[in-house]
Amino acid sequence: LARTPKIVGRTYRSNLGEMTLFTGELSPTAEESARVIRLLKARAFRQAADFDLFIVDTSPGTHCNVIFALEGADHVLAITELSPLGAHDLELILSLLETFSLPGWVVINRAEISGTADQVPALAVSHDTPVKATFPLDNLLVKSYVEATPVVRMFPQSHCSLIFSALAHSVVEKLVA
Amino acid sequence: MKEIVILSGKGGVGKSVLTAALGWQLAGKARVALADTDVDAPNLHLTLGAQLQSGHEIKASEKALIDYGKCSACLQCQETCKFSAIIGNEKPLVLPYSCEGCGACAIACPEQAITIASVTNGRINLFSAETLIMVGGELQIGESNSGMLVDAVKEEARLKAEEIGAEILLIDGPPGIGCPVIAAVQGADFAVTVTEPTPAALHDLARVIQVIHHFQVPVGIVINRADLYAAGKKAICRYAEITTFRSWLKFLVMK
Repeated sequence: LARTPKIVGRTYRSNLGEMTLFTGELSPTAEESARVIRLLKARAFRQAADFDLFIVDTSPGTHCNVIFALEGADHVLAITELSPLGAHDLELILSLLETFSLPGWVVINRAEISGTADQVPALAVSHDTPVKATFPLDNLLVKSYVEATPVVRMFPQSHCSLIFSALAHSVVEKLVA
Repeated sequence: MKEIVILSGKGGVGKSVLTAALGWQLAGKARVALADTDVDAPNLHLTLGAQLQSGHEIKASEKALIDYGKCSACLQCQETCKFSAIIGNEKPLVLPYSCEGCGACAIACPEQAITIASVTNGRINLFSAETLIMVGGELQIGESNSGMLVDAVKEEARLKAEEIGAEILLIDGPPGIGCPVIAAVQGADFAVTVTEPTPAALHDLARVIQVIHHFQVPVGIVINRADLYAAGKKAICRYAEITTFRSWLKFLVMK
Protein backbone atom coordinates (compact mmCIF):
# COMPACT_ATOMS: atom_id res chain seq x y z
CA LEU A 1 0.00 0.00 0.00
CA ALA A 2 1.21 3.48 -0.79
CA ARG A 3 -0.28 6.93 -0.36
CA THR A 4 -0.30 8.89 -3.58
CA PRO A 5 -1.35 12.48 -4.18
CA LYS A 6 -4.64 13.09 -5.99
CA ILE A 7 -5.93 16.28 -7.58
CA VAL A 8 -8.93 17.51 -5.54
CA GLY A 9 -9.06 21.10 -6.73
CA ARG A 10 -7.29 24.10 -8.19
CA THR A 11 -6.08 27.43 -6.97
CA TYR A 12 -5.95 30.54 -9.13
CA ARG A 13 -4.34 33.94 -8.91
CA SER A 14 -5.78 36.84 -10.86
CA ASN A 15 -4.95 40.52 -10.89
CA LEU A 16 -7.69 43.13 -10.70
CA GLY A 17 -6.11 46.56 -10.84
CA GLU A 18 -4.57 47.18 -7.43
CA MET A 19 -6.04 44.00 -6.01
CA THR A 20 -4.93 40.41 -6.34
CA LEU A 21 -7.52 37.66 -6.14
CA PHE A 22 -6.63 34.16 -4.95
CA THR A 23 -9.38 31.63 -5.70
CA GLY A 24 -9.69 28.07 -4.45
CA GLU A 25 -11.91 25.62 -6.31
CA LEU A 26 -12.83 22.12 -5.20
CA SER A 27 -13.27 19.59 -8.01
CA PRO A 28 -16.94 18.58 -8.05
CA THR A 29 -17.35 15.14 -6.37
CA ALA A 30 -14.18 15.62 -4.30
CA GLU A 31 -14.67 16.04 -0.54
CA GLU A 32 -11.44 17.72 0.50
CA SER A 33 -12.60 21.34 0.54
CA ALA A 34 -10.74 22.09 3.78
CA ARG A 35 -7.47 20.99 2.13
CA VAL A 36 -8.07 23.33 -0.80
CA ILE A 37 -8.64 26.21 1.61
CA ARG A 38 -5.46 25.45 3.56
CA LEU A 39 -3.35 25.20 0.41
CA LEU A 40 -4.90 28.35 -1.06
CA LYS A 41 -4.18 30.32 2.11
CA ALA A 42 -0.63 28.96 2.21
CA ARG A 43 -0.13 30.07 -1.41
CA ALA A 44 -1.54 33.54 -0.75
CA PHE A 45 0.35 34.06 2.49
CA ARG A 46 3.66 33.14 0.88
CA GLN A 47 3.24 36.47 -0.92
CA ALA A 48 2.07 38.29 2.22
CA ALA A 49 4.86 40.85 1.97
CA ASP A 50 3.24 42.26 -1.19
CA PHE A 51 -0.04 43.17 0.55
CA ASP A 52 -1.35 45.30 3.41
CA LEU A 53 -4.59 43.43 3.82
CA PHE A 54 -6.01 39.99 3.09
CA ILE A 55 -9.79 39.71 2.81
CA VAL A 56 -10.96 36.11 3.04
CA ASP A 57 -14.43 35.22 1.75
CA THR A 58 -15.59 32.09 3.61
CA SER A 59 -18.19 29.48 2.80
CA PRO A 60 -21.47 29.61 4.71
CA GLY A 61 -21.94 27.53 7.85
CA THR A 62 -19.67 26.77 10.78
CA HIS A 63 -17.78 23.59 9.83
CA CYS A 64 -14.13 22.90 9.03
CA ASN A 65 -14.14 24.98 5.81
CA VAL A 66 -15.19 28.04 7.76
CA ILE A 67 -12.81 27.30 10.63
CA PHE A 68 -9.83 26.98 8.26
CA ALA A 69 -10.83 30.20 6.50
CA LEU A 70 -10.98 31.99 9.88
CA GLU A 71 -7.69 30.52 11.14
CA GLY A 72 -5.18 33.31 11.74
CA ALA A 73 -7.64 36.15 11.09
CA ASP A 74 -7.10 39.47 12.87
CA HIS A 75 -10.70 40.56 12.50
CA VAL A 76 -13.97 39.04 11.31
CA LEU A 77 -17.00 40.59 9.61
CA ALA A 78 -20.17 38.56 10.26
CA ILE A 79 -22.85 39.39 7.67
CA THR A 80 -26.48 38.78 8.53
CA GLU A 81 -30.01 39.95 7.82
CA LEU A 82 -32.83 40.89 10.19
CA SER A 83 -34.82 37.68 9.74
CA PRO A 84 -35.22 34.82 12.23
CA LEU A 85 -33.00 32.73 9.91
CA GLY A 86 -30.36 35.47 9.86
CA ALA A 87 -30.42 35.78 13.66
CA HIS A 88 -30.26 32.00 14.13
CA ASP A 89 -27.20 31.56 11.91
CA LEU A 90 -25.52 34.73 13.22
CA GLU A 91 -25.67 33.33 16.72
CA LEU A 92 -23.84 30.21 15.51
CA ILE A 93 -21.08 32.20 13.84
CA LEU A 94 -20.69 34.51 16.86
CA SER A 95 -20.35 31.41 19.09
CA LEU A 96 -17.69 30.11 16.72
CA LEU A 97 -15.81 33.42 16.99
CA GLU A 98 -15.96 33.12 20.79
CA THR A 99 -14.66 29.55 20.64
CA PHE A 100 -11.62 30.73 18.67
CA SER A 101 -11.29 34.10 20.50
CA LEU A 102 -11.67 36.13 17.31
CA PRO A 103 -12.79 39.77 17.48
CA GLY A 104 -15.22 41.06 14.90
CA TRP A 105 -18.08 43.26 13.74
CA VAL A 106 -21.61 42.48 12.65
CA VAL A 107 -22.80 43.83 9.29
CA ILE A 108 -26.55 43.88 8.61
CA ASN A 109 -27.78 43.42 5.04
CA ARG A 110 -31.32 43.95 3.66
CA ALA A 111 -32.20 45.96 6.74
CA GLU A 112 -35.84 46.51 5.70
CA ILE A 113 -36.64 42.80 6.02
CA SER A 114 -37.58 42.86 9.66
CA GLY A 115 -40.09 41.13 11.81
CA THR A 116 -37.62 40.34 14.51
CA ALA A 117 -35.74 43.59 14.09
CA ASP A 118 -34.35 43.64 17.63
CA GLN A 119 -32.99 40.07 17.71
CA VAL A 120 -29.81 40.80 15.71
CA PRO A 121 -28.70 43.94 17.61
CA ALA A 122 -29.37 42.10 20.90
CA LEU A 123 -27.14 39.22 19.76
CA ALA A 124 -24.43 41.68 18.75
CA VAL A 125 -24.54 43.19 22.25
CA SER A 126 -24.59 39.87 24.12
CA HIS A 127 -21.63 38.56 22.07
CA ASP A 128 -19.76 41.84 22.41
CA THR A 129 -19.52 42.24 18.62
CA PRO A 130 -20.66 45.73 17.54
CA VAL A 131 -22.89 46.34 14.52
CA LYS A 132 -20.57 48.30 12.25
CA ALA A 133 -22.67 48.84 9.13
CA THR A 134 -26.30 48.47 8.07
CA PHE A 135 -27.24 48.15 4.39
CA PRO A 136 -30.75 48.88 3.14
CA LEU A 137 -32.37 46.94 0.32
CA ASP A 138 -30.88 48.77 -2.66
CA ASN A 139 -32.03 48.14 -6.23
CA LEU A 140 -28.74 49.47 -7.57
CA LEU A 141 -26.91 46.79 -5.57
CA VAL A 142 -29.11 44.08 -7.09
CA LYS A 143 -28.61 45.61 -10.55
CA SER A 144 -24.83 45.55 -10.26
CA TYR A 145 -24.83 42.08 -8.66
CA VAL A 146 -26.70 40.46 -11.54
CA GLU A 147 -24.26 42.14 -13.97
CA ALA A 148 -21.34 40.71 -11.96
CA THR A 149 -19.90 44.17 -11.32
CA PRO A 150 -19.28 45.49 -7.79
CA VAL A 151 -21.79 48.21 -6.89
CA VAL A 152 -18.96 50.49 -5.77
CA ARG A 153 -17.64 50.42 -9.36
CA MET A 154 -20.94 50.57 -11.22
CA PHE A 155 -22.76 53.07 -8.96
CA PRO A 156 -20.11 54.70 -6.74
CA GLN A 157 -22.55 57.36 -5.51
CA SER A 158 -25.34 54.94 -4.55
CA HIS A 159 -26.46 54.78 -0.92
CA CYS A 160 -24.90 51.40 -0.30
CA SER A 161 -21.62 52.36 -2.03
CA LEU A 162 -21.27 55.16 0.52
CA ILE A 163 -21.84 52.69 3.36
CA PHE A 164 -19.21 50.36 1.83
CA SER A 165 -16.84 53.29 1.65
CA ALA A 166 -17.36 54.12 5.36
CA LEU A 167 -16.91 50.45 6.26
CA ALA A 168 -13.66 50.27 4.26
CA HIS A 169 -12.49 53.38 6.09
CA SER A 170 -13.21 51.72 9.46
CA VAL A 171 -11.30 48.60 8.39
CA VAL A 172 -8.26 50.61 7.33
CA GLU A 173 -8.37 52.62 10.55
CA LYS A 174 -8.59 49.48 12.66
CA LEU A 175 -6.17 47.20 10.81
CA VAL A 176 -3.89 49.04 8.43
CA ALA A 177 -3.19 52.58 9.62
CA MET B 1 -40.72 5.57 0.12
CA LYS B 2 -39.15 8.17 -2.15
CA GLU B 3 -36.36 10.47 -1.01
CA ILE B 4 -36.18 13.97 -2.48
CA VAL B 5 -33.14 16.13 -1.67
CA ILE B 6 -33.14 19.92 -2.09
CA LEU B 7 -29.78 21.52 -3.00
CA SER B 8 -28.54 24.80 -4.47
CA GLY B 9 -24.75 25.11 -4.45
CA LYS B 10 -25.01 28.76 -3.45
CA GLY B 11 -26.39 29.63 -0.03
CA GLY B 12 -29.32 31.96 0.56
CA VAL B 13 -31.24 31.24 -2.65
CA GLY B 14 -34.24 29.60 -0.98
CA LYS B 15 -33.55 25.93 -0.16
CA SER B 16 -35.23 25.87 3.24
CA VAL B 17 -38.17 28.05 2.18
CA LEU B 18 -38.80 25.72 -0.79
CA THR B 19 -38.44 22.58 1.36
CA ALA B 20 -40.90 23.90 3.94
CA ALA B 21 -43.44 25.00 1.32
CA LEU B 22 -43.17 21.66 -0.51
CA GLY B 23 -43.55 19.84 2.81
CA TRP B 24 -46.80 21.63 3.65
CA GLN B 25 -48.14 21.29 0.08
CA LEU B 26 -47.32 17.59 -0.17
CA ALA B 27 -48.71 16.86 3.29
CA GLY B 28 -52.28 17.07 1.95
CA LYS B 29 -51.49 14.55 -0.79
CA ALA B 30 -49.11 12.04 0.81
CA ARG B 31 -47.56 11.10 4.15
CA VAL B 32 -44.43 13.24 4.43
CA ALA B 33 -41.38 13.27 6.70
CA LEU B 34 -38.65 15.92 6.52
CA ALA B 35 -34.95 16.00 7.34
CA ASP B 36 -32.65 18.99 7.80
CA THR B 37 -29.13 18.04 6.74
CA ASP B 38 -27.74 21.58 6.76
CA VAL B 39 -26.07 20.62 10.03
CA ASP B 40 -23.84 23.74 10.02
CA ALA B 41 -26.73 26.16 10.15
CA PRO B 42 -29.90 24.13 10.52
CA ASN B 43 -33.01 26.28 10.19
CA LEU B 44 -35.66 24.25 8.37
CA HIS B 45 -37.61 24.16 11.67
CA LEU B 46 -37.84 27.96 11.49
CA THR B 47 -39.16 28.06 7.90
CA LEU B 48 -41.50 25.16 8.66
CA GLY B 49 -42.83 26.67 11.87
CA ALA B 50 -42.03 23.45 13.76
CA GLN B 51 -41.61 22.89 17.51
CA LEU B 52 -38.79 20.91 19.12
CA GLN B 53 -40.06 17.62 20.57
CA SER B 54 -36.91 15.85 21.72
CA GLY B 55 -33.21 15.59 20.96
CA HIS B 56 -30.07 13.69 21.82
CA GLU B 57 -26.32 14.06 21.43
CA ILE B 58 -24.59 12.00 18.77
CA LYS B 59 -21.07 10.69 18.33
CA ALA B 60 -20.72 10.92 14.55
CA SER B 61 -17.03 11.71 14.65
CA GLU B 62 -13.78 9.97 15.56
CA LYS B 63 -10.64 11.61 16.90
CA ALA B 64 -7.12 10.61 17.92
CA LEU B 65 -6.57 10.66 21.69
CA ILE B 66 -3.01 10.71 23.04
CA ASP B 67 -2.12 9.02 26.33
CA TYR B 68 0.65 11.35 27.51
CA GLY B 69 1.69 8.75 30.15
CA LYS B 70 2.90 6.54 27.29
CA CYS B 71 3.94 9.26 24.79
CA SER B 72 7.71 9.62 24.30
CA ALA B 73 7.28 12.84 22.28
CA CYS B 74 9.05 11.37 19.22
CA LEU B 75 6.51 13.29 17.06
CA GLN B 76 6.24 10.49 14.48
CA CYS B 77 2.48 11.00 14.66
CA GLN B 78 2.95 14.56 13.49
CA GLU B 79 4.96 13.44 10.45
CA THR B 80 2.39 10.77 9.60
CA CYS B 81 -0.71 12.96 9.79
CA LYS B 82 -1.78 14.03 6.30
CA PHE B 83 -4.32 16.48 7.69
CA SER B 84 -1.79 18.62 9.62
CA ALA B 85 -3.99 17.87 12.64
CA ILE B 86 -1.12 17.27 15.07
CA ILE B 87 0.91 20.29 16.15
CA GLY B 88 3.39 21.05 18.96
CA ASN B 89 7.17 20.99 19.34
CA GLU B 90 7.73 19.39 22.74
CA LYS B 91 4.73 17.10 22.78
CA PRO B 92 2.10 16.34 20.14
CA LEU B 93 -1.23 18.09 20.37
CA VAL B 94 -4.27 17.02 18.32
CA LEU B 95 -6.33 19.81 16.72
CA PRO B 96 -9.84 18.38 17.11
CA TYR B 97 -11.34 20.30 14.18
CA SER B 98 -8.62 19.06 11.79
CA CYS B 99 -8.50 15.42 12.92
CA GLU B 100 -10.40 13.07 10.58
CA GLY B 101 -10.00 10.08 12.92
CA CYS B 102 -8.25 8.07 10.18
CA GLY B 103 -5.98 6.32 12.68
CA ALA B 104 -2.70 6.63 10.76
CA CYS B 105 -1.04 8.24 13.80
CA ALA B 106 -2.15 5.35 16.04
CA ILE B 107 -0.44 2.88 13.67
CA ALA B 108 2.71 5.01 13.41
CA CYS B 109 3.10 5.54 17.19
CA PRO B 110 5.90 3.27 18.47
CA GLU B 111 4.61 3.55 22.07
CA GLN B 112 0.97 2.64 21.23
CA ALA B 113 0.02 5.85 23.01
CA ILE B 114 -2.73 6.85 20.54
CA THR B 115 -6.26 5.50 20.35
CA ILE B 116 -9.10 6.50 18.05
CA ALA B 117 -12.27 7.24 19.96
CA SER B 118 -15.79 8.33 19.05
CA VAL B 119 -16.58 11.86 20.15
CA THR B 120 -19.77 13.85 20.39
CA ASN B 121 -19.93 16.28 17.46
CA GLY B 122 -23.57 17.24 17.38
CA ARG B 123 -27.20 16.64 18.17
CA ILE B 124 -30.13 15.07 16.38
CA ASN B 125 -33.44 16.77 17.10
CA LEU B 126 -37.02 15.77 16.41
CA PHE B 127 -39.44 18.57 15.52
CA SER B 128 -43.12 18.53 14.66
CA ALA B 129 -45.64 20.90 13.13
CA GLU B 130 -49.22 19.61 13.17
CA THR B 131 -49.04 16.40 11.10
CA LEU B 132 -45.50 16.99 9.81
CA ILE B 133 -42.44 15.53 11.48
CA MET B 134 -38.87 16.64 10.88
CA VAL B 135 -35.52 15.21 11.95
CA GLY B 136 -32.73 17.79 12.09
CA GLY B 137 -29.00 17.58 12.72
CA GLU B 138 -26.98 20.20 14.51
CA LEU B 139 -23.19 20.29 14.39
CA GLN B 140 -21.56 21.29 17.66
CA ILE B 141 -19.70 24.60 17.33
CA GLY B 142 -16.02 24.03 16.54
CA GLU B 143 -16.57 20.38 15.63
CA SER B 144 -15.97 18.65 12.30
CA ASN B 145 -17.13 15.58 10.31
CA SER B 146 -20.38 17.15 9.18
CA GLY B 147 -20.62 14.47 6.46
CA MET B 148 -20.86 11.69 9.05
CA LEU B 149 -23.44 13.71 10.97
CA VAL B 150 -25.52 14.08 7.78
CA ASP B 151 -25.42 10.28 7.35
CA ALA B 152 -26.65 9.89 10.93
CA VAL B 153 -29.48 12.40 10.41
CA LYS B 154 -30.62 10.59 7.25
CA GLU B 155 -30.52 7.23 9.02
CA GLU B 156 -32.68 8.52 11.87
CA ALA B 157 -35.04 10.33 9.48
CA ARG B 158 -35.54 7.11 7.47
CA LEU B 159 -36.41 5.21 10.65
CA LYS B 160 -38.88 7.91 11.72
CA ALA B 161 -40.34 8.03 8.20
CA GLU B 162 -40.87 4.24 8.20
CA GLU B 163 -42.46 4.46 11.63
CA ILE B 164 -45.15 6.82 10.39
CA GLY B 165 -45.45 5.04 7.03
CA ALA B 166 -44.23 8.09 5.08
CA GLU B 167 -44.33 7.92 1.30
CA ILE B 168 -42.00 10.88 0.83
CA LEU B 169 -38.90 11.94 2.73
CA LEU B 170 -37.97 15.54 1.90
CA ILE B 171 -34.33 16.32 2.68
CA ASP B 172 -33.19 19.93 3.00
CA GLY B 173 -29.55 19.88 1.93
CA PRO B 174 -26.54 22.01 2.88
CA PRO B 175 -25.06 24.70 0.60
CA GLY B 176 -21.83 24.08 -1.31
CA ILE B 177 -20.56 20.86 -2.92
CA GLY B 178 -18.38 19.44 -0.12
CA CYS B 179 -18.69 16.39 2.13
CA PRO B 180 -22.07 17.19 3.73
CA VAL B 181 -23.60 17.72 0.26
CA ILE B 182 -22.15 14.44 -0.99
CA ALA B 183 -23.63 12.72 2.09
CA ALA B 184 -27.00 14.42 1.53
CA VAL B 185 -27.34 13.48 -2.16
CA GLN B 186 -26.31 9.82 -1.87
CA GLY B 187 -29.23 7.46 -2.12
CA ALA B 188 -31.78 10.12 -3.10
CA ASP B 189 -34.43 9.29 -5.70
CA PHE B 190 -34.60 12.86 -7.01
CA ALA B 191 -32.70 16.09 -6.46
CA VAL B 192 -34.42 19.47 -6.66
CA THR B 193 -31.95 22.31 -7.15
CA VAL B 194 -32.87 25.91 -6.39
CA THR B 195 -31.20 28.84 -8.09
CA GLU B 196 -31.76 32.51 -8.88
CA PRO B 197 -30.96 34.46 -12.08
CA THR B 198 -27.58 35.79 -10.94
CA PRO B 199 -24.15 34.81 -12.29
CA ALA B 200 -22.98 33.56 -8.88
CA ALA B 201 -26.03 31.34 -8.33
CA LEU B 202 -25.82 29.79 -11.82
CA HIS B 203 -22.08 29.15 -11.39
CA ASP B 204 -22.68 27.29 -8.12
CA LEU B 205 -25.73 25.49 -9.53
CA ALA B 206 -23.63 24.01 -12.36
CA ARG B 207 -21.12 22.74 -9.81
CA VAL B 208 -23.68 21.06 -7.56
CA ILE B 209 -25.37 19.49 -10.61
CA GLN B 210 -22.00 17.94 -11.55
CA VAL B 211 -21.97 16.29 -8.12
CA ILE B 212 -25.60 15.13 -8.50
CA HIS B 213 -24.81 13.66 -11.96
CA HIS B 214 -21.87 11.82 -10.49
CA PHE B 215 -24.23 9.99 -8.12
CA GLN B 216 -26.66 9.41 -11.04
CA VAL B 217 -29.56 11.03 -9.25
CA PRO B 218 -32.22 12.59 -11.53
CA VAL B 219 -32.35 16.34 -11.08
CA GLY B 220 -34.64 19.31 -11.68
CA ILE B 221 -34.12 23.06 -11.43
CA VAL B 222 -36.34 25.60 -9.66
CA ILE B 223 -35.73 29.28 -10.44
CA ASN B 224 -36.42 31.55 -7.49
CA ARG B 225 -36.76 35.35 -7.82
CA ALA B 226 -37.27 34.69 -11.53
CA ASP B 227 -38.07 38.30 -12.41
CA LEU B 228 -34.85 39.62 -10.85
CA TYR B 229 -32.89 39.66 -14.11
CA ALA B 230 -34.24 38.60 -17.49
CA ALA B 231 -30.84 37.82 -19.05
CA GLY B 232 -29.94 35.72 -16.01
CA LYS B 233 -33.14 33.70 -16.34
CA LYS B 234 -32.34 33.08 -20.01
CA ALA B 235 -28.85 31.92 -19.04
CA ILE B 236 -30.32 29.35 -16.64
CA CYS B 237 -32.74 28.10 -19.31
CA ARG B 238 -29.87 27.84 -21.80
CA TYR B 239 -27.80 25.93 -19.25
CA ALA B 240 -30.75 23.60 -18.60
CA GLU B 241 -31.15 22.89 -22.34
CA ILE B 242 -27.45 22.18 -22.83
CA THR B 243 -27.41 19.89 -19.82
CA THR B 244 -30.61 17.99 -20.70
CA PHE B 245 -29.02 15.56 -23.13
CA ARG B 246 -26.98 13.98 -20.40
CA SER B 247 -29.54 13.90 -17.65
CA TRP B 248 -33.21 13.85 -16.82
CA LEU B 249 -33.34 17.56 -16.37
CA LYS B 250 -36.71 19.20 -16.02
CA PHE B 251 -37.34 22.67 -14.87
CA LEU B 252 -39.96 24.85 -13.45
CA VAL B 253 -40.23 28.59 -13.02
CA MET B 254 -41.36 29.90 -9.65
CA LYS B 255 -42.96 33.34 -9.93
